[in-house]
Amino acid sequence: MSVMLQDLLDIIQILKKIGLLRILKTISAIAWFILPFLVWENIRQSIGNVYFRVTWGIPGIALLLFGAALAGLQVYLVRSYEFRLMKRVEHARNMFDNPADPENEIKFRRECENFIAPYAVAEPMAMAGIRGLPILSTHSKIYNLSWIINLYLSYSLFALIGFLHDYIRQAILFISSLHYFFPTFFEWMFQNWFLFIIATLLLSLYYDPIVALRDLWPSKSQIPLYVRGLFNLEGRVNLLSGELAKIPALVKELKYVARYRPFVDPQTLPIIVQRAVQNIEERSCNVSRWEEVVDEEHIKEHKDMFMKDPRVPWIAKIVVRWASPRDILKNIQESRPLLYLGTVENRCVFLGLIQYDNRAKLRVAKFYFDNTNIRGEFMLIMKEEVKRQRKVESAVAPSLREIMEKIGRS
Amino acid sequence: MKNERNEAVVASLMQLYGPPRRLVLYDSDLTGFGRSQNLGPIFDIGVTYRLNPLEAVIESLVNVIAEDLSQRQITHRDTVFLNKSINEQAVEYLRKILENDPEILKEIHRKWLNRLAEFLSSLDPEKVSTTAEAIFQVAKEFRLSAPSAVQAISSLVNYDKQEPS
Repeated sequence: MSVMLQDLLDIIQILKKIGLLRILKTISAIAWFILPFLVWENIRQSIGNVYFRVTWGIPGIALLLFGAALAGLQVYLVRSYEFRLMKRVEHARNMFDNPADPENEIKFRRECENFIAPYAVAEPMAMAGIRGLPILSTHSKIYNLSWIINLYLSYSLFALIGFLHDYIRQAILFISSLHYFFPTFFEWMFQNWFLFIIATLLLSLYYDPIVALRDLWPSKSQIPLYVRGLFNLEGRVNLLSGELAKIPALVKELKYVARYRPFVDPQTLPIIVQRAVQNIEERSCNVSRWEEVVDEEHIKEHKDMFMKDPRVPWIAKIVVRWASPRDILKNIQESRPLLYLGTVENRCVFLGLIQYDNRAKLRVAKFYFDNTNIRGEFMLIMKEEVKRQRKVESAVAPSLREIMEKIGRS
Repeated sequence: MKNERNEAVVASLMQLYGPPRRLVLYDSDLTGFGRSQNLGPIFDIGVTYRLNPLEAVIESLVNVIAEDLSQRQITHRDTVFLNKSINEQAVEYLRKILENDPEILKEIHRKWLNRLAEFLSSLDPEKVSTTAEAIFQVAKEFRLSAPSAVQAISSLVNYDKQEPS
């Protein structure tokens, strides 16, 4: 008993170290990811194995592999684009680094504008391009039938899992050998299958954008949407990989990145960056903030600038080719990107992009750092700031609608 | 005559809350709001009239005046350069306005809260569904730190209960 208690205490200690909330969030993301497969498993148990053949799912598996390769390539290209952008800032600093020239700073900023603007609007443009793709256009019949494609892709993946049944069993045996907790858990899971599905469903609710974030569950019209979205793999893969990517031990690249969602404090951000740099390097840091305000007249110029920029990943250019100026304008106006640059002398130490995620209805921030020390210090200061924000945030209602109702009453 | 002059001053201050500038440059000597010693007399006036949220209103005014001063004195275009000196000048500018007539702060405070209420009601609840996004929008529009933005929204909700007698 005392050994078990000690083990439990060890596990709690580890959870505390990694962050209990992070673990719960990751579990919830995993639950959200596996939910459609549990549905398939129940269907398989009801109608039998004969309807789940891997040969029927080969086109789907090929499509999934192609999609995974494309997504991996995109992640790599975007990251290298951001790295090159920071180097480009340094190059511009070197070009205009004459302290005697009063126009020095203006020339530097003008040079930056050439490559900063395309970066700040890259995502809204790419999204407009995806919208414009004939297959994914909301006006096309294929788009309306996309839920059938999603259903088939999900079926294909489940058929593949069934085909790899023996390997999965071996993997479960291997995991079971790691700690006595796992065989106990698997035993419980197989014995209480229904309870396991309910628990997974409940855990997954935290991450379901329809149910949890938009608070629309009571609305009956959203239920078909939820059912249609159940087999959409893309959203689930994105969320799970995004959540796993927050565990530093899993992703080495994360050493230079920090993400915040929601992000609420654009005014204090420059001061936090300056403090972090000052604490680590004992040098002052110049921060600038760019806001891309695009109007109808100049939207074509923006698109041309984006297409001609040699730093923009080719994959993004292919997608943006399909983007209509109207969709680009709408996306930029919705996301309202804010870009921050931090430089120490001629070195770019910080690159930050804050934009509105229309699907999640949240402002998201992605920050890149020149080195891990500055990132660590920045995150420490931000942690304190976020704590301070959360403390006062509890004083206001959880939604704008409720705030407005209260203001109306007072 | 005095009332008309005050109204003109308040209106000109409120006009500074236009759309944020395209490029904002932050100099390395910025330390955040509240470090200036000249802020003391301004806060004293606010305390006398029991104005709430005092800090948020002053912070917002100082930041927006600093942006305006920078644009007029340094950059002359859609760019703002913020440093300690400009912030000090903004505090001084505000102090001078209040020196002539301290009661004007009451009017500024009232108009500021009205503007905040108007801004919040202009937001689309479908798009700005979460409080976090409302805080971000207020922080950006009124040049406030997030805690001050929360404080301002919270004060607006309880405005009747806290209004000075």
